[in-house]
Amino acid sequence: MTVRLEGVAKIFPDGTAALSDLDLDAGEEELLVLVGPSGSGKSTVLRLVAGLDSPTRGRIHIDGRDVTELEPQARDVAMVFQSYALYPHKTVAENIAFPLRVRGITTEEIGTKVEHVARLLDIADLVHRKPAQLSGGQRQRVALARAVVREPKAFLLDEPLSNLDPAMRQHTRRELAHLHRQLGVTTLYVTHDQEEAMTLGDRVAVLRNGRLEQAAPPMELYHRPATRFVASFIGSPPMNFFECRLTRTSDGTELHAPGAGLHVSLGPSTSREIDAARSSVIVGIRPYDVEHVTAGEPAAFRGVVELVEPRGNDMVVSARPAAHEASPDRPTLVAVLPAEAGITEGEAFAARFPSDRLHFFDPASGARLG
Amino acid sequence: MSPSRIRAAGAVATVLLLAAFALPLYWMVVGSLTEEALLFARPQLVPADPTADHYVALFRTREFLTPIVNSLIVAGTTTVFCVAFGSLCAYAVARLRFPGKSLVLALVLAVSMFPQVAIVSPLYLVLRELGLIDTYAGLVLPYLTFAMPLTIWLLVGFFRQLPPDIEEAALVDGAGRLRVLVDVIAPISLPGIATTAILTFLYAWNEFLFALAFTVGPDHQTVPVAIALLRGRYQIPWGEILAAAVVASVPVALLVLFLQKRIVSGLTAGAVKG
Amino acid sequence: MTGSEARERRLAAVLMAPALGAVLVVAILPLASTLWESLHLHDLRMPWLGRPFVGLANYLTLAGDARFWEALAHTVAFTAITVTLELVLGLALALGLDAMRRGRAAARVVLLLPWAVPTVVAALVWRFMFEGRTGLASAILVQVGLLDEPIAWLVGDVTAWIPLILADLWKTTPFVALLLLAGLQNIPDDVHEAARLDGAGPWRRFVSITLPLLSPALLVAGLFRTLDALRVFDLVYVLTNGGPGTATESISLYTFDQLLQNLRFGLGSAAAMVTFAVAFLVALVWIRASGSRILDSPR
Repeated sequence: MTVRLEGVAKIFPDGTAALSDLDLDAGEEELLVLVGPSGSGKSTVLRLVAGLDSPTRGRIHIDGRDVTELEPQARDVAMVFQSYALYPHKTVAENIAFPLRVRGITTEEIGTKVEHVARLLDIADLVHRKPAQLSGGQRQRVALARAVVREPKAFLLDEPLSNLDPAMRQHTRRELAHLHRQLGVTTLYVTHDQEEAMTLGDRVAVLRNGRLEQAAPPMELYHRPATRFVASFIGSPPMNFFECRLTRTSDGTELHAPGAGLHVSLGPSTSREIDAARSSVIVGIRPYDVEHVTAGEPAAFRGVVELVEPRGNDMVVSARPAAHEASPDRPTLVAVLPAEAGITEGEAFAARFPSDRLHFFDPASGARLG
Repeated sequence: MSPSRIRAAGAVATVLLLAAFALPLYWMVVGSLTEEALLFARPQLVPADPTADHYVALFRTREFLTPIVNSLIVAGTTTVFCVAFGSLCAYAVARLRFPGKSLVLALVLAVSMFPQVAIVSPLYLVLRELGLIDTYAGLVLPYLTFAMPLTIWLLVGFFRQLPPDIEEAALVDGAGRLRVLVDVIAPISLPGIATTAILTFLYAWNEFLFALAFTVGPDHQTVPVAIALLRGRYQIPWGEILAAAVVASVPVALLVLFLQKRIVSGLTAGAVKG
Repeated sequence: MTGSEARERRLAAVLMAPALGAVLVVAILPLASTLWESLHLHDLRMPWLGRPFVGLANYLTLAGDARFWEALAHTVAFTAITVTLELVLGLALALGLDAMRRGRAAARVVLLLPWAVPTVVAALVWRFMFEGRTGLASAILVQVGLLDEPIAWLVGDVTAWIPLILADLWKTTPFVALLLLAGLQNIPDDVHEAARLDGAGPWRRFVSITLPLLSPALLVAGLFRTLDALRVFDLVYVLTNGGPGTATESISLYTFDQLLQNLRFGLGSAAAMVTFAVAFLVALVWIRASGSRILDSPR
């Protein structure tokens, strides 16, 4: 049961392009998370797969079949809406039974299936209530039950956790992961929360302005982001970026960003990853990878601590190059350091960037280098 | 004047105004219970010797039951068809995509601005051709058409407010459009439909011009026409007229009494949102 | 166009067919037919004359008919007076109701009854109160001392208008009042409070905040009421039947007379078209003049 989007574009009548030239697929039993800022087109993808909207260009395949011209009724996918979209005038049992009744399944068989699914999702004692009498978490489970009972070819989940309060969110996230493993149905899961994406997805597709930035397993997204945007979107606190000038030396490359108090020396192997003809490059390093050094040691960054945010086990340190440096914009370096480091605001700060933790991006296109 | 004085004066003025609005109806009821001879004597707020003579005469001599039944049939039928056709049309306008939507709405709105007098004659000729003069159908058809704009207007506004994802969920669940309408939309639209039905019924019950023009004899005349044509042999039978007026107002009054919230929401929804 | 788009259009056409069909057959076609009829000589009292095409002759006859112009003038004056009074009175009532804390449901019932009652009933009741010399109206005014002796209202050319205007006010002010009340209730409290903190007194607040925010509702109410008043028929027919003579004849009544009393279908159709044109123009001008404000909601 796979879902495939081929060259899909969606342009609305008023001219806005929600999706441009998208190629995406979700494999059998895979949980593919679609993540991105609002307006990136992720919900549009879901609606196109469900058949609620038609693509302006491109084809959509489900389970090897081209469904682009098919109505939603004929596609055999189940969708859980962000608002749950329960039928307010029907009981929980009737809500769950609706997709089965529509297909003409016998009443007894419906009864069995509904009961089974209700128990699976732990709402068996709510079956006679109406949606208005349920809590948010309960309603969500009814929506899930309604989707699960059909044994569809694919599940489409539209921000299922965003309407829940934070405590419920963690709990439900785990339940969803468990449910997915149990049922083994291809799932497309939309969220704007990158942490959710990273913990749940077999693969994660990062979308931005209707284009696919990268689709890969979470760890690959984290360690080898394909674009600057992916690098900035995945991981919290977000990656630090510095625009640096390149100077070639005999045994490597020097990177300078004096306004940022930055001076990095790269060895020959790392230098080869970056194109020799380049004059500038964007350097990225994650806050967790920044290493604090004491005054005397060689450092890539020198500056002053502006803010320390203790988080119990660790602390988030924000530092900027000292004020007397010439450049007007002084980008902040964010580092996550163990609590024992004992950094205080106002003190001098120096850090080194391990070269195997550096990421390089083209300043114009944002594409990854090397 | 201090703000609280202004407020007090305002409250008194409002109450007086409301009393002024209530007066004519009260007077109508009082008159219907007063002897004919005393009707134009010195007016008294409470009738000294209330009598039911006029009501008796109304139903016995004038057979006023017939127009009442006629009105109920015509208004009821109009309401059923108007709501059915109007809600289908309103759903299409509110939810489906097709070209010329604003044209449809403009057309519908324009119809409600027609002076009815402008189409009385051709309608008369057409109905005569079809043999529908002095029949129920001959009234229901024009009523349907003139009540439709308001129905469509109100229901379009109502449907637009329904969250679209419930319909989409039904589609994805496998229901065809018709099933969605019947099994999902209709049940949750009952408030909007009820309001529209009430307003349509009131319109049909009160309509006068078409009823006057398209009916000939007492067999099919509706209540407004029957009252207007109440004539005495020598003079205007005011007592009976007032009694008839009271009877004509009773169903309306009941509707208003029990459903005033619905009525007001219908009136204001149609207009305030534009 | 994709398959699903085509399907949607077909479904829309099917769903709209009954309603639009009825509108077409019962409203549009007859209107077109009236227009066509107005260009012919068609007098049912003289069927031997046939139904020749006479172009704009009927319209010229109308233009030369003093009674037609009087009816038009009556209608325009009636409209101007009643709509203005209804807006003012309706606004006063709406403000009064808005300030009421209790009894609003009862007030709504009292106001809805005149609106809901058949126009015929309203006309008869008001006629009853102004009938002859002994109706309630005269009695009250004499009691209160505003009149020396009772008047026969319905006999005077000008005095016959009084019960007509009052009856119309009685019947339609509630609609205006309730509409404006809804508009008032849509104005958020904090706007008023901010103004009060800024030092604005009640009159100032009314003029600078309430009226502007209420203007969409006022414009809509005014439009509906104006169109209704231009087309007034039931009220006049039953209360005065255009009398005394033709002193209170409205344009709709004139048209009705020519059509179904005099059976001059051609002429009557021309009068009907003029009525339609007047209503249409007024609506157009009104909507243009209100601009987009008429579509705003007071939020």
